[in-house]
Amino acid sequence: MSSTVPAARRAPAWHGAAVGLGAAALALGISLLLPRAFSDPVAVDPYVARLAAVSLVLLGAALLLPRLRDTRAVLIAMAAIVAPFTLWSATPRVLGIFWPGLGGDERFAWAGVAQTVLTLAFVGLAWLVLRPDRRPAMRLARFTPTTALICVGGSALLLGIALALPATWLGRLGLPTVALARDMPWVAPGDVLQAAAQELEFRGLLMGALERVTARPWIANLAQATFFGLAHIAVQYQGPAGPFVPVTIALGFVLGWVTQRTGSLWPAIVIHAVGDVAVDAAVLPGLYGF
Amino acid sequence: MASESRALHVAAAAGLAAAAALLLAPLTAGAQAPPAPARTPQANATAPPAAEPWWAPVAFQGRTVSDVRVDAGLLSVSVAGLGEQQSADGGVTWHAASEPGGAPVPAAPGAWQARGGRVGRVDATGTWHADPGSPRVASPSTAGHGTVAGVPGADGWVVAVDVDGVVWRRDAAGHWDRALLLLNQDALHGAPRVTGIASFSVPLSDAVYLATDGYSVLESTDGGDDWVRAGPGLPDSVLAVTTDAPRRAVWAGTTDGLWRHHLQPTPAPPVYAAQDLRLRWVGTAAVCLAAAGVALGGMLRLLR
Repeated sequence: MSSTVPAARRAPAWHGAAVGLGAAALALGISLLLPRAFSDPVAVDPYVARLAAVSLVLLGAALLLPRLRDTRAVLIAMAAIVAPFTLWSATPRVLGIFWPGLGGDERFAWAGVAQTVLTLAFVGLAWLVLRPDRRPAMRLARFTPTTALICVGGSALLLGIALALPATWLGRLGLPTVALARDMPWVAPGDVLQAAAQELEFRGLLMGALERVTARPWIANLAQATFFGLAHIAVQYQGPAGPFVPVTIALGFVLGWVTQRTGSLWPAIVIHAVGDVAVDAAVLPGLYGF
Repeated sequence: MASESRALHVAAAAGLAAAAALLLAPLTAGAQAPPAPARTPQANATAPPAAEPWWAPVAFQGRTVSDVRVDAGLLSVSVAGLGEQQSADGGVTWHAASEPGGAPVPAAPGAWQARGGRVGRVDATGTWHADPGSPRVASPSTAGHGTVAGVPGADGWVVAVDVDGVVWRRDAAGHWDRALLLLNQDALHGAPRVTGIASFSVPLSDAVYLATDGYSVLESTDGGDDWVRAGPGLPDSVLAVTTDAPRRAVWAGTTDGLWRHHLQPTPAPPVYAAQDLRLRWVGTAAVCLAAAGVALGGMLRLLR
């Protein structure tokens, strides 16, 4: 569909997407960092609800004001990234209030369900309110034997690299086998759902939206990977997030590249899910729980 | 077009309403601070001396301490280049031991010990009985603490390290299961050696400590099911670990001297519960609205 868009209209569209992305980054950055200067971030807003609020305000305004039409796709993507994360992080506590008997692992799994459902709702919103030539390609329809091979090979490569790197860098010290047998029936599906939601958000909605307005796919990929990395600053309240950001930017770029090359989101979902399950299986938490 | 416009307005209204609810909900709910994460507290743990780190260096920095024992308050260590050293004042002063090595300590009734490659328990008469199904473990070097540790406060629960370095745990029903499988250190090195395991024989703490030559000290507070890294500050190579109940301490011999951990509550993320929390929420909401306003103003100006 993008090829039918007249070249003369691409520049304004690109401009609108860039302005929307920049404005969202500015607003989310201020909302994330400024309250930390005058308050305890853990207690004031443990679920980064403030970021979800800002992203929804921007999206609401973009949907109401015709002048902001060209920002809608990226602002839907930004809201899709932030609001489901807030829901994911708050769900276990909310479930604990209403169903005190529900175990922690089960709450984690249900949080993954909530995050995925809300992410899919944003995908539906994008489908509903965006013009066909602005709708991000979600690349969910394509799954070939080659795709399956890339899923397996990419996952093996990721695990191989993780095992080759020094264990103390990554914290992947050992497999607590008794705990894994107890936790994984709930935690693994939760990990898979969370990975799928994040791939829909970053490599689906955000990268897909940017690809619609730029002729260079790598720019769209680099932009989503950068936001993927920066998002990990927001969620790592209880530990030093700085060193983690470059790693997640690189991982996000590779997953975006795989998605663009294969024309399918599935390899990114599978590789991401395998990585998340491996982290939960082999990374022993430290004294602060991370 | 009409349906698209209606969808836009519905979506926008929903978005704005959700944003308002997100910002206002904590105020109406009383803005309670979140509870500390659920962690098993250390039983009867007391606060350490002010500002003491989790592990603190005590003596022999720069030298390898390969063995640590505590017997009746007397601390004995094996130090590379200095031989056997002893301290009766908790590591403040040291003197050369008169005879190297520590004498085996008789096991108390109910204690778990490794003998002849098996784990067993000493009964009230002092007789040792092998536990059926126990893993094959190495014989302890001294004092019987090298490969087996009972779980404090949980009768029948035991953690043991087998000859291959796999950590096992026994539950109260007598079931043995593999509890922890250490992974390789990197592409060139295998899994680190487990160099010791220790727990308190009195109910001071529910922790079991695992010393490793590569991953410092790991700790389990639920009988060996879950493990955490509990070695902040310690060198990666820990060669011996032992508990010291009278001093409420754990001692670790490392490639960089002797270190001590005083029992203290497990750290948790800070919980802010000041009276002005509600005001801070208002401030946060104001920042969010201002940020959104600035962003909106910028977008409208740039897309004029």
